[in-house]
Amino acid sequence: MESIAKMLPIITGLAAVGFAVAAYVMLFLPKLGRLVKGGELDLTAYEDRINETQGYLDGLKSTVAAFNKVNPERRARVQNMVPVTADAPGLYVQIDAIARAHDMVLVSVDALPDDKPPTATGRQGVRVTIDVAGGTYQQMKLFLTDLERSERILDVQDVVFTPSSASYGLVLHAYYFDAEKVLHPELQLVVPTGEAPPTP
Amino acid sequence: MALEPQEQSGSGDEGLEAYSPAVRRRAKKPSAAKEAAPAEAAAPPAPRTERGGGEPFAGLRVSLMPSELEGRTGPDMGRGLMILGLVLVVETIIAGALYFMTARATDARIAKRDELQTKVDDLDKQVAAQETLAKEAAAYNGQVAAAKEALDKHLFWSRFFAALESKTHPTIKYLNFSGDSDSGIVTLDALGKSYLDVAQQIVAFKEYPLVSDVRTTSAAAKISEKGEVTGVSFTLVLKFKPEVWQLKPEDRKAAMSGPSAVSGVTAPPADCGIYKGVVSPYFTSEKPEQMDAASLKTAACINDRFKTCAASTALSSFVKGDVTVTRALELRGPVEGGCQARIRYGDPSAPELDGKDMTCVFDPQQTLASNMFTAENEGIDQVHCAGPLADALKAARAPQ
Repeated sequence: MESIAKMLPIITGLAAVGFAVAAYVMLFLPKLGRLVKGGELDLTAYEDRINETQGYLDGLKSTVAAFNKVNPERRARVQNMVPVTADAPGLYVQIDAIARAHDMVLVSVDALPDDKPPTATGRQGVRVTIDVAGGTYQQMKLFLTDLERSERILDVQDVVFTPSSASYGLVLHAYYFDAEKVLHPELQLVVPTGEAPPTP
Repeated sequence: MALEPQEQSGSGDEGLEAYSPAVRRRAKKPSAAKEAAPAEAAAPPAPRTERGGGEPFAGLRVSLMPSELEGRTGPDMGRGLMILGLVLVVETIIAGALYFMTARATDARIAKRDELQTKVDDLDKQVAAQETLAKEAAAYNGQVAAAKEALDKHLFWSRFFAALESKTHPTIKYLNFSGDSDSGIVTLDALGKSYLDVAQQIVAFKEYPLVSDVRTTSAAAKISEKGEVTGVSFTLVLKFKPEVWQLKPEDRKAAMSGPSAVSGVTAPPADCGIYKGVVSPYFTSEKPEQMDAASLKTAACINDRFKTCAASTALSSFVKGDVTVTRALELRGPVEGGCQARIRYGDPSAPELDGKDMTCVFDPQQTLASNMFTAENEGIDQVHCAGPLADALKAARAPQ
């Protein structure tokens, strides 16, 4: 009994330490493990994600705001110059209108998007083959001039004609911006500068 | 045994002494004194307490310490156990308090996490909504870049034909034309009056800096029945430099600023109004005192806009005999070699001309009136007029 009594302070100390360790291991460690960095309840990842998403959202908002400031007429003009689809029917109508304006007849037209991949800027070509009849050489030149100044950008690649036959064969290139292909899967967010659209 | 009474006899105090070492200690002295002074020992003990007199009563002192342990202090088991218990209790309280705080911190963190998750969800929704709008903006940016790229390489066949015409010998006629702007190769089947003309034509192209290669694949004389050379047919294969189809940015802007034949694509031309001519239908300001203010204003407007070949329209009327003739003029914009203009003729007295139109390229060095006069008279080819009206005018002037 006396020896036990003599050991009591040590036993007390050990019991205190043991109790503390047991409490830490059994009670606190599971809780603290969730709270510390990398734990289940570490919110750093959430905060980082929020900051990142917020930055992206701000970028989107500024892009949209800048776009909304662009003059609608300017937007329409750009849309006419390089639409977001090949718009072959639109090409038929425009070329026919130009031909009619010069008393020429659009005999045939064929518009096929290029198989080649788009350029770095996303410009995709449409190959347009047309046959035009009627009109003099002067009218054909005026017809070509109107093709050049058409708001839908048209580049004449080949011209074949026999002046005496009043028959003209042309190969043109129109362009479109393949938004689905170029902008997928992520948006290329560039804030519109508000500058004037590209001028000839 | 220490707790066993050593003596059973004696007064009541003696009995207590047997159980109390303190009492016993005090009692020993009297017993020693008893040996020394038996008389004193026989004397009756003094009364223990006396309130208000004598030595005060110090209280009952009881010691449980065995006599053999007297003077020595050993470990206190009870006290130690009590301390152990206290330590454990205190630790339990502290651990409980800390656990409570930790649990609260955990709950707070969970609540915060839920709040952040809600915020993330909300942001994701906003991003999805904004992305839909931003796609249009991104597409616009792409369209602008694509349009710039396309315009930088825009081809002008009008410039090419102007260059070709400027380098063509007057006696040479082209029978077939085939040109490819990608390769720059143009093949021409042509007819000259003589070999000399053919040679001069070839030299002219070779000296032209925008032609990088000239080849003649064949040349053959056409001989009449009389044996005279009536012409020389030949084929030219020319390789042009890409610059012949291209314009400088500043020229490009001017070349493309005119209205297109496609309605709704370009801005409508400015309308200068109606002009009632006194001397002619050509928008002159002669005899201004006889003209109304509106006509003077129209004349000033259309002549002013002709100087820059700005897209514009005007209508003139002029009384010619008993008939009022009209000219609907449209300035369409700059082209290679001048200002493109469209004229629609109104003359009820000339059904072959009435209602027909033609397109001309006016010389900017001349006045508008001079160009219009030239177009309707002998110089119709000088201003490159084409169209039904041009054909009709030429036919009307042709010798019967």
